[in-house]
Amino acid sequence: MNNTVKPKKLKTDTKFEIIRFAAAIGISISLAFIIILFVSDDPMLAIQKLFLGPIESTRRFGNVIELAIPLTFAGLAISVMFKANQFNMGAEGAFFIGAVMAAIVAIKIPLPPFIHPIFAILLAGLMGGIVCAIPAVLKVKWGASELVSSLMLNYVFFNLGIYIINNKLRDVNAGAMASVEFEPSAMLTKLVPKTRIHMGIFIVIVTAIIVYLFLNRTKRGYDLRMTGYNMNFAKYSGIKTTAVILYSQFIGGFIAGIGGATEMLGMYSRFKWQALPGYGFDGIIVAILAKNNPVLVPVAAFFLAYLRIGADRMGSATDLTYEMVSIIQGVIIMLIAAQSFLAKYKQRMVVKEAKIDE
Amino acid sequence: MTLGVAKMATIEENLMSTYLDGNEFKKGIFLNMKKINEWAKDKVSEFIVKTDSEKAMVKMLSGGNIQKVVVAREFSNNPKFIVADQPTRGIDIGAAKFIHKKLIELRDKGSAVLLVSADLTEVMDLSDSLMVMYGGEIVAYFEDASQVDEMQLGRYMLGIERQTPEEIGRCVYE
Repeated sequence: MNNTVKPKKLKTDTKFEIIRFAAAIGISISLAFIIILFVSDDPMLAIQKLFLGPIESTRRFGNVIELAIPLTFAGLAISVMFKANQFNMGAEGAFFIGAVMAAIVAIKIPLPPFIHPIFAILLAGLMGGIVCAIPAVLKVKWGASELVSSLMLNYVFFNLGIYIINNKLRDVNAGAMASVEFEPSAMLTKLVPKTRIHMGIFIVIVTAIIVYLFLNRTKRGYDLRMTGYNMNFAKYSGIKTTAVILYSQFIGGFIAGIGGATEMLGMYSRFKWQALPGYGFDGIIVAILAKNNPVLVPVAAFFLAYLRIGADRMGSATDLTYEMVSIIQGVIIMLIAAQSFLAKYKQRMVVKEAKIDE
Repeated sequence: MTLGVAKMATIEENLMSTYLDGNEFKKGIFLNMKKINEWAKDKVSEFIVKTDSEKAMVKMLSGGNIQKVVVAREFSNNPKFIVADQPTRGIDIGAAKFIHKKLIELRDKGSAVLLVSADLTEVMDLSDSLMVMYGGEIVAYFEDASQVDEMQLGRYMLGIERQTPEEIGRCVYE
């Protein structure tokens, strides 16, 4: 029996994933081209703005990075929760509550610089974790669907946050509904001149590395992944799946909470959100694009941010609207999420390889 | 497939699932990936799992090889007691022979093996002692499996004959 160990199958898989990803993006971008050609009066300008707009200037590219930071946080949060096969949508609420928590700490609790943002971010993470753990508790205790309860709870926490901001922290002198200004000691330092890129970029990179190590190099991370793959198998192997569900959702919420706080302290000087920012839901897109792989999440987030900023540019410079990008996004996600897209091609690839082996 | 393996996980991950509670494969708070990998490679070759790599997904394997992965995990643990319920059903002869060999090895190492099977030849080839069940009850016990033939077994299996409670009671050891 031929039993030599060759890492060939793995390579084929990776190669296929790359081809599939490229094909999905290629198809959706060509679709975008076609639609732009039909709709726009000046299609060349629109296309140029869409794809090159984000690299027109440092400021624009800065915008991409600024947007990629919260998207990465949300993507990581969702990845951890989805890895455990829990469709928890609470990241949106956790993100919002994290931002509110950071605002409270930044306004009400005076602390020395450096310690101030760290304390705010950790407290925000804790609150976010609790937000996402509630649907998990409801699920393991009473079997309530985490999808439904987390979606509902998002609005509960949104309104709770809005209540706190508008009634306890509101700046009556500000023109719009907004909180009083944060203490300067709480804000994250800006890094690059002419952009708003802030310290959060380091926090997000460290978080991504920690999530990767946690999932792939620790016992608890292993338990989490096995529970996600096959819960009965995990249970049989002696993994405490109830605990896994609880801590996976808490960790996901924790990351979302950190994300909310980082966004708030890095990008704003007062709390201004009067609607859910939508990062939690964007996180789902990012997680799907990255296939729940924490290493790919920042890449996917960057890609999505690039597309968004490009659309923004296209929207303001031409007669085309921002909605265009939603169409492109939809097509890409559909093609990537579809399990059997190009499956025939993969089959042929594997067969060819097997023939070479013989 | 529902309890034994996680299809989407790699062979290595399926092999290690019951081995992580102790500190054998840990390095501080992390798992010792190198050691796990070496161990998994060992198991893959010891149990002749036919695959390109121990990092391949279990769903890429044939039924017999998936069974071998499960067997590799369960038999490598120095188990005190193994319940092998239809261990060779639906797999090829080579793999079945191999699992038989491993069961005998386990016996020799001092594990108690309870083999449950609908395959009479398997039962008679492997077992030291035999018990026959009929209608949900144990109806016969043979201390030495080599003294029995299929005809005799058949009569008990069909419920035509039945041993006395004393005869059956011999299967209880203190």
